[in-house]
Amino acid sequence: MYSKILVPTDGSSEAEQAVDYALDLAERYDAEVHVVYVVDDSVTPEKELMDSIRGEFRRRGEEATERILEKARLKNLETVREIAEGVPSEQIVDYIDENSIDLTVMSTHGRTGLKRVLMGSTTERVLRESSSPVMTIGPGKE
Amino acid sequence: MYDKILVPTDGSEGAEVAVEHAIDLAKKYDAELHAVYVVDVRAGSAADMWANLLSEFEEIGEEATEGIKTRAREAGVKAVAEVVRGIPHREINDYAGENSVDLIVMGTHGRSGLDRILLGSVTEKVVRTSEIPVLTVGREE
Repeated sequence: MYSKILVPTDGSSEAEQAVDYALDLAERYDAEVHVVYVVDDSVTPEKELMDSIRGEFRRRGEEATERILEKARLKNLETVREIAEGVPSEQIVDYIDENSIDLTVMSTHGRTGLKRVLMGSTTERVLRESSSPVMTIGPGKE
Repeated sequence: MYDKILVPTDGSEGAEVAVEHAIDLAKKYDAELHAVYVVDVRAGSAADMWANLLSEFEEIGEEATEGIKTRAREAGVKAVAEVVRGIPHREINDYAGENSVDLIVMGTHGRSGLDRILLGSVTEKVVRTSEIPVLTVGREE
């Protein structure tokens, strides 16, 4: 039922809470794990400023995705990594369509999440617009 | 990781697609499937306006949940069916808490669903308030 599982990350510890769930499902279904980080180009409309910070974002993205890839490799899972650029929710939804992702696993709260009450806006948009199932991981029992 | 999987249903087609995923996951994880229908008894709800038909809503719920239970058992999955009364998203969360459910599987579109941009209101509330993972399944395209 799930042969390609996507776990997007923004490098936050909240986003990484979804990783264990994604990898466990990938093991059960013998699925390929796709790890995507999106360099958010909406942080500034200044093209020159964006050009100067792009490298730093990409480096962070590579670190964040590498941590997940390492965990996946320990479980002998096939992996694919992508560093995209644009509006995170749009890039994630496009990635789901273009790569025929069967399941996306995300935390309900991301970097800017206020815990419990607010759902991360990226997660909310992906949930609304994804063409395939999305598993949301809440903040857990407190 | 999952011993008990909850699949709430309102008897709609949108909920049906979620059932397939729930049964498949229960099989993979050797989990017990809990099919639950909530008779919405809030003021202004259909069940409230047609209070004399409350038993009919319970029947619809029984039919929907028993149908899922049968399908699950045919797939070799242990299953229970339950009909409760209350406010849907609260009852779903309460049921999950009281029965140590590890995962909720729901359709994005219930009976009142429009298109894929809109998330069913019960599903949205459960996603926002659940302490455990929620798998939302849209219409297959």
